Amino acid sequence: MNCFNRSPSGLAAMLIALAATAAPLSAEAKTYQYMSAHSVNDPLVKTLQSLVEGYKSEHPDFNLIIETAADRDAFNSKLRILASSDQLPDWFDADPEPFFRQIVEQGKVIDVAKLYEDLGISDKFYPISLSYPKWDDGSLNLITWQANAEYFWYNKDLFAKAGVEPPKTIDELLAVLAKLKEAGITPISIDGKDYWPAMRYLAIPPFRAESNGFIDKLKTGEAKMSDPTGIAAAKFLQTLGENYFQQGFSSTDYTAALDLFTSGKAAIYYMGTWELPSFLGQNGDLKPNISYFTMPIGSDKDASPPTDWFAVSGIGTAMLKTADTPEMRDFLKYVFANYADKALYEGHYLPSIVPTFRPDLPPIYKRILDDIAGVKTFAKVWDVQLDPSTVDTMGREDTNLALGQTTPEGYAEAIDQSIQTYLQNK
Amino acid sequence: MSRSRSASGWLYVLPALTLFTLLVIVPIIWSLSFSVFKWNGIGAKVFIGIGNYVRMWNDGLFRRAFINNLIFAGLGTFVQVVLGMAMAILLMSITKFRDFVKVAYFIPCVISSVAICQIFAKLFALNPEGVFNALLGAAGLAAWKSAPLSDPHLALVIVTLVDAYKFCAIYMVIYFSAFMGIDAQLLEAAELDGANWWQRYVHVRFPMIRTVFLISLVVLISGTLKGFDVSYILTGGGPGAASELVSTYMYKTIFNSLNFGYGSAIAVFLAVECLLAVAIMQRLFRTSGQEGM
Repeated sequence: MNCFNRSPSGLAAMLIALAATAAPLSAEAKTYQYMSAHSVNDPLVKTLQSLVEGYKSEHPDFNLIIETAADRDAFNSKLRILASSDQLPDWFDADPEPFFRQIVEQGKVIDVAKLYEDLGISDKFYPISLSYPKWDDGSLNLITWQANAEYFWYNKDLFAKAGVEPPKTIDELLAVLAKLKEAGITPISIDGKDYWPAMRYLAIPPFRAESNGFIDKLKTGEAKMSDPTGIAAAKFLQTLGENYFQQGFSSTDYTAALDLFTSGKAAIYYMGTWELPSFLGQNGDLKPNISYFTMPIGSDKDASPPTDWFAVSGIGTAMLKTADTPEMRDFLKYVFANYADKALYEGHYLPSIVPTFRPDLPPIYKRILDDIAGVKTFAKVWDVQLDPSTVDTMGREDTNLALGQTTPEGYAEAIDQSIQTYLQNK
Repeated sequence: MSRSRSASGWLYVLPALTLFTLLVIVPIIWSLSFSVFKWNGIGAKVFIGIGNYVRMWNDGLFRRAFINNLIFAGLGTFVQVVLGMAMAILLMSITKFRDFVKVAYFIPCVISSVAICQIFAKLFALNPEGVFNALLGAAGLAAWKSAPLSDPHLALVIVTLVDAYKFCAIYMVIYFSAFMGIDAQLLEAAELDGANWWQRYVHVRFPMIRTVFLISLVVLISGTLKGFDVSYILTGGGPGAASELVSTYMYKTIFNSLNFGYGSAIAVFLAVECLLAVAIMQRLFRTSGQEGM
């Protein structure tokens, strides 16, 4: 016989006692929810979790529960359902894209620029980590955690085998790719299952020709994909897709594309420095056969300098105004004071806040952070700038274009139509 | 039928009817109401009447998804029926280890779609080389090595076959159970009349399970018309829109393009399409003498 059978009245008394003791605790303890777009093993999640634990040790009444995501699609779907049912968590990850803009316009999230000012940390961030998540009007609603550059990583051995050097211009890049192919080497490894890598290639010629002017005008309908700049971009992507991406690229996922490069089966891999640990040797520096080059220039008439390219701060984090409490501010103060070094030295990724440079820091980290600090105007990311419907259309049509299933003109027409539909329905 | 018997009948039906109403009827009505609005999931809804349905009519991508879906349903139904029937006949033909074989056949049904799709994605991969390409290489056909999931002409067929592979064992179980339910005396009588193995199937077993077979067809066609998971996971509807189905397009319209109104209109289309398919089949079965379908 157990205690429940033995004495119902005793059980009732026990429950009442439990309720009485639990009530004051729940009234004082405050738990916040953070819906992260990152996976459970992501170093960023681990770093934030470690900071939460550290803060909780001195503030047991505070808690931030981090909910991770299996993948970005699953995260986006869930976030959009929560937003449409007005059930957004206290913290949630978001890009500065049109859907998040509407959440901002509803006045639900805090002004992050003001938060940084209040905490006196505005000057602690890398410029890219402040400018990447900003809206066109200069306002800021996202906390950023990383500062990443995007490079063309290349295999030095395969380059040597083909007798080529890292290219400086887009024409040189095409020549290098042709020589690599002639040498029987897969020139480029790309994750074709995700939309963004192909979009980066697509955006290179327009960024060099017009800096961010083309994408800024394209999204507002002032420029068209069928303009010469857009057609040149489409032709560039088609040339790469039909000749230089690995065979079967459209069904290659992120991990397979990375493995193809790191196993020495492809010569070039375009990727952000969030993947840096995959290119490091045991000494913490780049593996001897791996190096990188930055976005090639178009010509001496380029609108963007060679030192400008894609640099991103990763997906940001928004905070609801209802979560902007004194204890949350205190927690954030603790986080920002301890985050950068923890991220760099324990998480081994590049933080949004300038860290302490210790002598034991592998040179590659310092080199990349210096690169990032030198970017004047970062190239805007098309999959964030354009409306969700056009991003979906562009992703699908990029694949068709790269596979030769459509012409650059047909491609441009599909993109222009999607943007026009969005603008008409806006 | 007396009034009390009628009432008790409704009482028995009520739990299932309530669940059906909540899980099927209400969402359809809900989708129907959303489908007449322009809504991105956040902010104000704008009433646009039949605007989303007009858009559907003019949407080339939707037409592509619809045609893909018809191919998926037609080919998928055929393959699942043939494989299901073949496996059921094989099971009928063996006596030893029948349960073991039955369980082995049924395993793909209980494995999650994600796992099945991962297996096939690796199987057909070119980089790193999967079993399919390795076998081609071993057979001296290295020139034929390819990435079929990246081939716009093959992706839909592969998606259909993987979906059929996953679900055909359900029809095996249905047909096998139907075969087992046939009165043994009928088969013995046919055997005494000199019918061989094949004739017993053609003239006794198949006609005896005709109703079950037709019901399985209804389930199959309505199921394949709503096909989603294998296409979405294995190819994401691609490359391009080569393996896009109506339901994957609906999902993307709602969650990627954030067009809840248009996505709801596609959902309504999908429901009507399935109901229509079932109604047509019922009509066909009735005219061919299968009352009670």
